Amino acid sequence: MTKLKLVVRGMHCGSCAMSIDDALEELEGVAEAKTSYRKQTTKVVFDETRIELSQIESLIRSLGYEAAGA
Amino acid sequence: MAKSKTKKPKKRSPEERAARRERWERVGRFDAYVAERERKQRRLVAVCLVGIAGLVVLSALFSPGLPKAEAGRANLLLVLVTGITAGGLSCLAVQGGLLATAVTQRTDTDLDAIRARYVAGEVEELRLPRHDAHPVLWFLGAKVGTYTLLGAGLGSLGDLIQPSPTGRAFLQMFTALYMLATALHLLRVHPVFRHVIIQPPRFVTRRIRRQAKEGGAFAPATLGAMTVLLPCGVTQAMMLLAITSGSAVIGAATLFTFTLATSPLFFLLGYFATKLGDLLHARFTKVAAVGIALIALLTLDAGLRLANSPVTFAAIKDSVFAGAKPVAATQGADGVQEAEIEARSTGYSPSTVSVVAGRPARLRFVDAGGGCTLSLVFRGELIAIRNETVVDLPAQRPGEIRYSCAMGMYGGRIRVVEKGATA
Repeated sequence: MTKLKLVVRGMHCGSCAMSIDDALEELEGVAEAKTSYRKQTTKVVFDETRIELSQIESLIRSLGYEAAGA
Repeated sequence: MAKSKTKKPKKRSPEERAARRERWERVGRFDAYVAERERKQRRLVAVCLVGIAGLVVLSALFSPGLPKAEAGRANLLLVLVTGITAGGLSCLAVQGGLLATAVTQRTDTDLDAIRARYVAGEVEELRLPRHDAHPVLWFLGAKVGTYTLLGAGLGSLGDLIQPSPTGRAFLQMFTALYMLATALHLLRVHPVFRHVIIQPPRFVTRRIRRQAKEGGAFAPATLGAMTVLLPCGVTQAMMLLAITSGSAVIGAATLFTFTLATSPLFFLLGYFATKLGDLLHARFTKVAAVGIALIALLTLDAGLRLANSPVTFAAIKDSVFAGAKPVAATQGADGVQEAEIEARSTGYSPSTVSVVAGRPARLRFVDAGGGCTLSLVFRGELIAIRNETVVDLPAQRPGEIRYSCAMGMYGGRIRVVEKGATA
């Protein structure tokens, strides 16, 4: 399992963090997602053999936020 | 050189070409129909928004009759305006997403399925199913009801934890500063203001997400009630305001007004699943921030008055513009100075009374239809005004004694002056 921290821009409140976690944890290969609105980061635990980082970043972008490696 | 093999396009029969043309025409008709329907929905939403804004302006213009009698009531109009605009904030998008998950809504997948059937000719009539308003109404009803109960609870809590006027004063000032920080956060003044937002614990958000996905007949109402666990920054500020009211009734009224005010816009967005776009969101955020900042300033003013601070908005106004002329106390038969002060629904009258230094004075506070003014804070002591309540003042040195109602919303002054001096 790979643990990664991404910087997420564009969140408006704590509920945005919840929606990001909700969407990420639906992805196959993502074990856990912890998004902090205060820190503007997302910590993702995922299986590199089942999902790529680019797919995770793409999902976050599709929700209307920007994601980049910390 | 090897010859490249290019495939010749397969020749289609006239029937196949006609069928292809028909399919493309159907795609075009369907997409045009959906686009026109969404345009109509956006127009309807815009009209409703203008209507809501008009109602707010009208109520502000024609509300001079709204008494400021009860403590906190003067804030409710601002709470209403903040709620109407706060309804457009982005955290609403997540609550709307929860609602959409739990109810029967037209999703993009459904739209794709309907489109595919129409293009294939399985369906002749071009019509999309109407949205069902009942789940949205259940959601909003449960949300408003739960927040009202929460407001009553928070107001009662405020009553419990504010044993002294000084304690209340500091809580009000803290509330004001928190609300100002929330307003600055909404305006994105500096990233440090993000820290005022309290994020719910993960087990709470997981539970809510699970409830949304499980669905069920009562899901919309259950989710509506559970939104109380997902307050956005604006809602958190309103919850703090409910605590400072120190009254179950006013606390309930505050959160009832706020969540009810968020409902029309929420209904429109939830019912039509329409996104208004970043531009409108930005505007709503600014208006909500201004509303919160105004409430914060009123709350700060009340806290300062309750804390007996010489710096209040009224004092600043009097120093810039000539304030009301002080009314001099009269000499009683027993040599004690006397002054009558009416506790009205709009404040204390006269607001400034002058007494001569070195002589005792008797202040008669009379119930003249007052609300919170009947709870008087005089030199740190809470006094209930019943019909006529007398406060005896021993001989004083020159200076000023400030007093206020228990909420700090209305105040008055006793100016102690040297004999022969003008106040």
